[in-house]
Amino acid sequence: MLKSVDQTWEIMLSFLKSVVRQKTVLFSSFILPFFTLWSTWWVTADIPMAFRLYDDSVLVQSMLDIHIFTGALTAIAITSGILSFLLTAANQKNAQRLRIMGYPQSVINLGWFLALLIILVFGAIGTFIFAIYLLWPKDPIGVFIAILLTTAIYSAVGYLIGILFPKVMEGTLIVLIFSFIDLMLISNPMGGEVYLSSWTYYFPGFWPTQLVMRAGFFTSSNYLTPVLYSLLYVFILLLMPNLSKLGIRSQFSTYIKKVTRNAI
Amino acid sequence: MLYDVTLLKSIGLNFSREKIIVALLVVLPFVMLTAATATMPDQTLDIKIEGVSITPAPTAKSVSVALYALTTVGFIAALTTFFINFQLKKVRPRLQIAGYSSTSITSALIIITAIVSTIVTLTVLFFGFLWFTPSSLIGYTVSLVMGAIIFSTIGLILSTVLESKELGIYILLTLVLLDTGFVEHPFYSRRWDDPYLIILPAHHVVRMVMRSSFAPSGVSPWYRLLPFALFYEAILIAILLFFVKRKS
Repeated sequence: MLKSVDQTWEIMLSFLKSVVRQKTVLFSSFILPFFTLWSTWWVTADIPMAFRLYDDSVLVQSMLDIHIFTGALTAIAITSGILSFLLTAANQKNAQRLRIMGYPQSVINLGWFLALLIILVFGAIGTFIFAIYLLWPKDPIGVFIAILLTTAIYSAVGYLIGILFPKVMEGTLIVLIFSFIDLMLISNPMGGEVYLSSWTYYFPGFWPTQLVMRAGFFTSSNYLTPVLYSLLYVFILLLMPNLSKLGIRSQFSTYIKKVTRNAI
Repeated sequence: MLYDVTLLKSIGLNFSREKIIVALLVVLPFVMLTAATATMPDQTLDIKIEGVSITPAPTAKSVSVALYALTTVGFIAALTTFFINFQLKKVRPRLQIAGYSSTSITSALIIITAIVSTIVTLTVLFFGFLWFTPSSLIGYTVSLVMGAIIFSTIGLILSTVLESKELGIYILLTLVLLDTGFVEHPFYSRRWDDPYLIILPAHHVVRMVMRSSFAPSGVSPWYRLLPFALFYEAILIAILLFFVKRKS
């Protein structure tokens, strides 16, 4: 156990150095969220609108105010997802070498994810500071937690796609379109008819969006439910690359092949 | 010779080998447009063009489908050309040793870009028709093709100038998403018709899309804006040629 912790720490530090050396990190972690959030604030119309939250509380607020917080989540989600995907996909060769050297796959995965997360937390802090500069929320801690949760979830999404499907163009498009559709359309209160439909609860951006809305415009926030569901989401996403090791993924693919063959 | 059939075929085959990219050309428009229709409200929007309100007022849903079609076209066209040219960077010296001129390689690339742009536009149009019918089909098609061409050229410029693939992807995605999906989207943006947004690549194309989709009476038709979009494209091509010459 102690050996695994030591190895994870060692790998995390070496990956951290390698990530910091990449120029895109600076661009994406700081400039992209800043630019996205600024343009959201700059263009969104100041029209009052009424929205409902999952706990049935009703919110009447300007579209501009709502977009500052949901825009912050979208900005950090796109940044975390794409950066995490690109770096994970590029890191596959290093991971192979480490496996040959005897490091367990789970240790490599965890070390790499922690290194990514540390970098992205700086991006999350920057996004939070800029968001509260644009509009002071009723509960800043809740907003910060929501931004952190989005960072963790989308880092895990990018990381999972980077491991399972390390093709740069396709992966980037999948991560980008998924995060955009999730946070700007489906989980977003602007998402018209589908917003708060029961199936949208399973989208990664749902709980952080609910938390940020509550923390932004209500004095009391219920942290527990969004935090628990979001952490569960991260945990499941992190576990998925290791399924092949447990034989679950191969069993699943054999099952799918069998069903398809029978159907044909 | 301006272009070589063998060269064109080999670059095209190299691209079509990436089956998932080809699949994305079909899947992505479907996903984007379905999301737009599922999430946008049916409320009507008071959109003014040249100070005149569009009548009958379009719904947020139809405006979003019309514009997200452009976003999708922009995404795919820009990224595809970016990747083809980025891959070609490595192969270009070998092709030149094999006797192909820089001009024939560039023209092969432009032809492939045009083919990809057309395929993407047709796919997007096909899915778009499931939810929305523009007033002028020709105008709407030309607007989407123009958008695809402009963003493809930006993809070509970035792939020529930049050494980092990741940086290029970030710039392209941010530009397309913010420009067509947000800053110039009348539902989200209060500044979508501001004249100084002329510097954005989709500025004229968005206006062409709006006019060809909803045909407001009393304002100039979509084709009046085509020369401006073509002028923007000409500037982009000049920038591209400048960088190609500088690099070769």
